[in-house]
Amino acid sequence: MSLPFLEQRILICIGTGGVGKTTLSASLALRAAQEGKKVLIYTMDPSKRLASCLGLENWIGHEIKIKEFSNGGELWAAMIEPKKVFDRFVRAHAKTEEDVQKMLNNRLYRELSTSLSGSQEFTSLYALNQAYKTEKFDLIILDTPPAQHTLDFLQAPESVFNLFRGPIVEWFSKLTQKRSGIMSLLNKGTDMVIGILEKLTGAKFLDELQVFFLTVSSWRESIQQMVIETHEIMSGEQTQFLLITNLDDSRIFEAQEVIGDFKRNGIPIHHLVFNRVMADHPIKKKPTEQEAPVTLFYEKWKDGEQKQIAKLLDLEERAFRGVEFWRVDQVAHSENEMEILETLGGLFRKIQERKEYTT
Amino acid sequence: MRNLFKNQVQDGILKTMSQQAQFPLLKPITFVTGKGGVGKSVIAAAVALLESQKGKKIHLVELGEKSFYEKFFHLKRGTIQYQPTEIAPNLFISLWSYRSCLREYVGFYIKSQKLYDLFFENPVMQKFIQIAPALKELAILGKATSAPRNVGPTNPFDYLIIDSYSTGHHKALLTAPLAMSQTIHQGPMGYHSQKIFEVICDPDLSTHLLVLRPEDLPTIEGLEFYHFLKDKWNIQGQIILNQYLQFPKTTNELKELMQLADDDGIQKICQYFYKVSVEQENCFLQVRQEKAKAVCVPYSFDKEDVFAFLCSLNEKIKPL
Repeated sequence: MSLPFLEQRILICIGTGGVGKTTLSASLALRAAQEGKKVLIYTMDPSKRLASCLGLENWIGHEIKIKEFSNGGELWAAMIEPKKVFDRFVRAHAKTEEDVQKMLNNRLYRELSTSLSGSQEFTSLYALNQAYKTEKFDLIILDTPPAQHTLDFLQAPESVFNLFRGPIVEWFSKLTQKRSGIMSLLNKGTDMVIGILEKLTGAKFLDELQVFFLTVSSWRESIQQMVIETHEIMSGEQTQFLLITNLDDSRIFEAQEVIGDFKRNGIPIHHLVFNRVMADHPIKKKPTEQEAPVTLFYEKWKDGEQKQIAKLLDLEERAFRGVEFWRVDQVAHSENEMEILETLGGLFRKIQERKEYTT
Repeated sequence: MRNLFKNQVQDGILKTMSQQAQFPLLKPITFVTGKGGVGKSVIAAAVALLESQKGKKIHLVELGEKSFYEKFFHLKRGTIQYQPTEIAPNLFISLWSYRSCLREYVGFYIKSQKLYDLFFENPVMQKFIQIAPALKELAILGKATSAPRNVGPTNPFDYLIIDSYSTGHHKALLTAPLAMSQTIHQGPMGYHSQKIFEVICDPDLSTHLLVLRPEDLPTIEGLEFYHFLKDKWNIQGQIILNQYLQFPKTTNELKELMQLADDDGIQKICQYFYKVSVEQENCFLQVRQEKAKAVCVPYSFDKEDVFAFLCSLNEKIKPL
């Protein structure tokens, strides 16, 4: 059986933290490659073991081929590093080497390029778009930052764009003029705000901000172009979203929120994957006295999960309308990461219907 | 697992530890963090409930725009706000967004309501807040540390328990004041950043509970953060190994059952549990090698009654 979400050109995997999203994304990439596709997995912050499995331990900044299959399938991998992406952008747009250095050394730039809310999200979309434009791959899978910040993800292109346009840049240029005494007349509101800001932050902080904003104000057009393209990637036909979570109460609550947030922003999530569901192991005989406590423990576990799934299917009408449910079984820990990926790729199963679980 | 505990109790050092164990040791400001999905919010609530039942006045804080505890405690929508609400005797919960924290912080400097509104309604200012590095973090930590720094309103609580972000973001939260104080030496912001950082590092004022799960990766990551705190800032974190599975058989027994089983299903079940059990023991071992202050909490299947569930967690906390 082929998985519907591997038939698109771009698959964006989002997920609540700690649910095995990165590993599952990689397993899907491997599966698609085994099926004969040229696949690129863009991963974020992989564990050491996964990184070494994907050949990303000492990654130098471009996609690398990890595996080839006789049916023509290829598995490629790359990493998202916001700082590298931003630096590349600065180098491409600054007019002189001096400007490049001025920017790269600006403390605020350094902070922003690594910790600005949405910077990871934005750079991953940017990198995705660059790879998509090369038309080298049948499928690109993007592993995203934890979904605690999914809204950041959706709003990333816009919020980065907002950063460089509109009042804030003008405002800081006015501030320069004012402080250098060129401009004496400012509107009263701005004047007061500057006063308070200075009081709060100290004059030096404002200086740093100013240098930053004045430098980037000249890049407005290219940033706008970049933002439009990344937005198209997210909302385009070629892209599908997969939300990965598990059956914990709090995770389900988060999943509901995420799906709602996306819907409100005009982007539907079609597939919801529950990872680490206990596998079905039918018992065909009466357990021995020794075995009984273990099988009882197993059944208690399965029971708990089935209750959760039943609860979910109950919620389906309101929160999860139009969303397909999938499950992936628990896989025991193993030293061989590639083996795990291969196993996981084969474990995607659709949670068929309500009656399977509700009694 | 039972076997594991037997070993631990027999172990002299651990025995003494368990007798002395008063866990977790709360400080006026207690941060709870951990990798996503390890159950840190639930642990924070359990610790808060435990202390509130001992008669301490507890302020449990969640960070962000949306409340988790509202759903968790089955409270009416909108119950949990910026100002603390008492949801059980002595247990107060509030939700801090960076916006509200900053508003309060700025309000402290600007006494005039008109000026204050102007500051916050200014569109430039709103953008500035969104993008200014470290400002959100500082606003939150500024609020959290306001009592020991003697700024802001008086604090009627014995303990502040903050259900903080997951490890990565928590690290960013803690790093912000230091980065800021190094960037800006002068001005109120530089001064306060320095003070905030001092409070966070002061073992008499703050403590950090690190919630781990006895699985390979969460344990490695959790211990990495434990070392980061210890090596970089000399902060001694307290570790909670959460949701370990209490198998009815020891690891060796599971292995034996797996080898003897004549039913395919039972064989696979035992095999899976055996592997998990080995992984768990390995995680326990790693944490014990750290000689850190640590406890463990078993996984509970029954979570219907939230308060009963939290109390049961409190009873089940065992020294590691």
